[in-house]
Amino acid sequence: MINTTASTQRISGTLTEATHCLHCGEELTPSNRIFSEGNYFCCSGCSTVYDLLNTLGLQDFYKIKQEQNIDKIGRPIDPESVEEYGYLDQENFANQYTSLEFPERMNFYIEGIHCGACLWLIERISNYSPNIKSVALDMSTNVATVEFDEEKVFSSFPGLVKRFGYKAYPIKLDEEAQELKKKESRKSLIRISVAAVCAGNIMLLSAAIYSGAEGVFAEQFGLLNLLLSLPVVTYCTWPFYKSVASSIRAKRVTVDIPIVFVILVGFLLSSYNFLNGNDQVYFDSVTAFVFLLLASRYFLKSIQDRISNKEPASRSLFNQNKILIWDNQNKQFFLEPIDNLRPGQRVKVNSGDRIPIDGKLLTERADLNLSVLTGENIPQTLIKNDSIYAGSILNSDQAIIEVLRTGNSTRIGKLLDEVERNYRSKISNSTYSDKFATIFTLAVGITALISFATISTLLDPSAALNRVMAFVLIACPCAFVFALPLTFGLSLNRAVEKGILVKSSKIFEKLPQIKNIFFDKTGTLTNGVYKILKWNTNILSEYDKAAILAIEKKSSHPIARAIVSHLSDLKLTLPELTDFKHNYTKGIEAKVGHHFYEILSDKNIHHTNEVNEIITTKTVIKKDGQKISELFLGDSLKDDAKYVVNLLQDNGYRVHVLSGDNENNVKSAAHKLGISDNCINWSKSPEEKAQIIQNYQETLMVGDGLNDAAAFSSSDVGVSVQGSVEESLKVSDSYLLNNNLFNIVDLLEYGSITKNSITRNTRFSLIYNIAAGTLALLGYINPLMAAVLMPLSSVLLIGSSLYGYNKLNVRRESS
Amino acid sequence: MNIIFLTLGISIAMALVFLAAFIWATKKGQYDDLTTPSERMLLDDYEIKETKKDEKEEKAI
Repeated sequence: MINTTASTQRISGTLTEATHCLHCGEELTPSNRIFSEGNYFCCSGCSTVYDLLNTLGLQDFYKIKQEQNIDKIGRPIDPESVEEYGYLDQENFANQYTSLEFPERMNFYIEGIHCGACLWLIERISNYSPNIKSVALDMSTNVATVEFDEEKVFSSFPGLVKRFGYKAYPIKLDEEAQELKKKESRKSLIRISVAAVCAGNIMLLSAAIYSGAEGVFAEQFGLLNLLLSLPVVTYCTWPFYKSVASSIRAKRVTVDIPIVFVILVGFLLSSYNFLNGNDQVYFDSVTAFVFLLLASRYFLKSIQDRISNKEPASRSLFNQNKILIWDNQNKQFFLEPIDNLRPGQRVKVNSGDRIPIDGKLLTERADLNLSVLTGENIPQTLIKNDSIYAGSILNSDQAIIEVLRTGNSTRIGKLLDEVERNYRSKISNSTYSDKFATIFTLAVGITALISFATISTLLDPSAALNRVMAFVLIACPCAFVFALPLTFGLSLNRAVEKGILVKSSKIFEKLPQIKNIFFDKTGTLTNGVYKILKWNTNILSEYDKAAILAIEKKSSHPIARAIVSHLSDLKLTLPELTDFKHNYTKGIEAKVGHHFYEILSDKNIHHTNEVNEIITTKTVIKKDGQKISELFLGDSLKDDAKYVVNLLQDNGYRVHVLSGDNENNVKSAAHKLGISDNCINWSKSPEEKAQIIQNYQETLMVGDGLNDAAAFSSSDVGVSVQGSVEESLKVSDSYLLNNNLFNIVDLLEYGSITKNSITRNTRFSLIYNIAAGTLALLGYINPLMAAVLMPLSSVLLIGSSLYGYNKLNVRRESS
Repeated sequence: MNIIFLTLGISIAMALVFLAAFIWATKKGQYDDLTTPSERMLLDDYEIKETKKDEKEEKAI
């Protein structure tokens, strides 16, 4: 019945039912494949959602997915894993999430929205609950606005959504800020439309004048032109006046200065000429220019908004959004959004969770991994009343913590906030583009003055004015000034999305030159965790296992820890120990009942052929002098290490390993990754690492935090994958929040896109501005043409900046 | 030729009418979300298939 060969293969990029999960499109392997009512799924979650959609008559979901060419969607969440939403219906809670104006409306952020099919599904949910009146989803933010009926059963929506495989949680929108932004955007649209209407009509009237209207017509048309220009140069241009005023106050040269200059001179001169019966008028050029300028700025703004609207960096660290909060009234813990936390409240954290707040431990003791803060990977034991910092991971069972600080006021929150603010501010006034623009703008101004003087002596002042106006319009480097920060912004944004923190956008300029990539081994290529790789426990009796566990629980040696974590799932009852003895060089021994146990480490190192394992220690267990079992312990390579290293090598990078570990371990790891012998360096001190890197040029070092600080500083780009964020970002250029090696490939890719985009834009604007500027001065381009060409070139450059990223998206989707 | 002033008046009046319509639409928020409606209209043709009413209720809640 099961065709294993077909199920693991993907046939020429198309989907066949047997190879991919019918619901989510996940590739099926024999191990993850389940068969249900004639269809194959990757998990019971997918199968359940599939059945549900079919029962409810929503099978068109799959048709939409197919028609939109969506191969793969995220796996549905397990409804069992989602807590009950009953708390949503409590009045005091609901009041915080609804407004007085719309007490029956609540906004939810929905996780797992991928495509139009999801939109369709979510918006049809109101058909299945009598309590939900309507749902409107905004796909750009994944926020659904849900209208409920008078009963206000707010929990009905997330409860239904979770059965379809999505997770919804209520959010409080910052309505004031949002409203302000909306108003701003609407205002600009209205400005654009007013400018368009005026410019269009002026254009028509000017056509009549140009084609020879005379006498009363010319006079009346001209007057109409003047009147129609008035709202354009006042109302529509207002934001530019404000920006120029503030840049003059700050004594900065910006591109808005020549723009405002041209608009004002053009309008005043035209009015003067018209009133004096002279036909040198530029109402058409000025208004068309304002319209196109506003339109291109609006376009730019909407792109920038989409970039900056993303979640802050600290979000990618704390991927959970809810936490158990103690409710004094009901005397129990309720799951509530983290945003609701107030200092003084008590929260419960489960094992493996990253703690999202700074606080005080209320449980007797807890083991915490503080690596994000301290860089130390070994868990630390804290006792009651100790301070706990956000970012640490709970290793022991459960802990109750009193909240002291939340969100951005926690230690780590402040830090991430600062890092982010730092590089965000660096995009907005990137020094490179600033300098370039200032020089360019000044050059344009000076050239304009000189040309005006020359041409008016050679020809006549009115021709000179014509040409100089066209020149200033065309040659001011607006396009470049907008496109460059946009490029950096896009790169940074993609990086943060992937959990890559970047200290400064400068690294995007350095990344494309990289040729040699150095990896630290322990903790970078490997997981850096000492664990049992091979141990046949089946041959041991329950009694022996219990004895071993009891003995190892007494020790804090890494081997003992590994054994304890391996056996603790078995729920053994621990026997009494006598004669416990710790021998640091050899091992430990103890008596259990009448039997004498020894657990000894064997110094001889053995290596296996297992793909990801590096065996470093063998441990032998003896009972009454007889060997009863042996186990192998060691570190293992990260799952994606081999893939990433090979990918980098295929792309022409030379990959090196730099490690302080011994020859055997380093070589074994490197060979498994396919790194050639002359690129392997073992037993190196931090100083030696730095020296080796200096022997190469165009280097990127990937390591873990402080330990590799020297190596980072001698390499061109340093990326830390582990250790504390604070320390790491002091010594390296970038920090990978998710400890995911593939992010290195992403980072390099963003670098090359940024670089390409900048080169393309700089070249284009130089050539364009000089060529068109010259033509304008020679009189081949009149002001009207210039007014149209300038904003067009801006749009072209913005498009060019976006182009590289769109290509990236397309490639990602197809691969 | 005075007819020109009439047509001119009408054309500008029409432009103002359209401008007013546009401003009204903007203020009503019709241009606030430009992403989702474009997706949504493609999905109008898909329907919820008929299932028995009671089964639906029972399954859903």
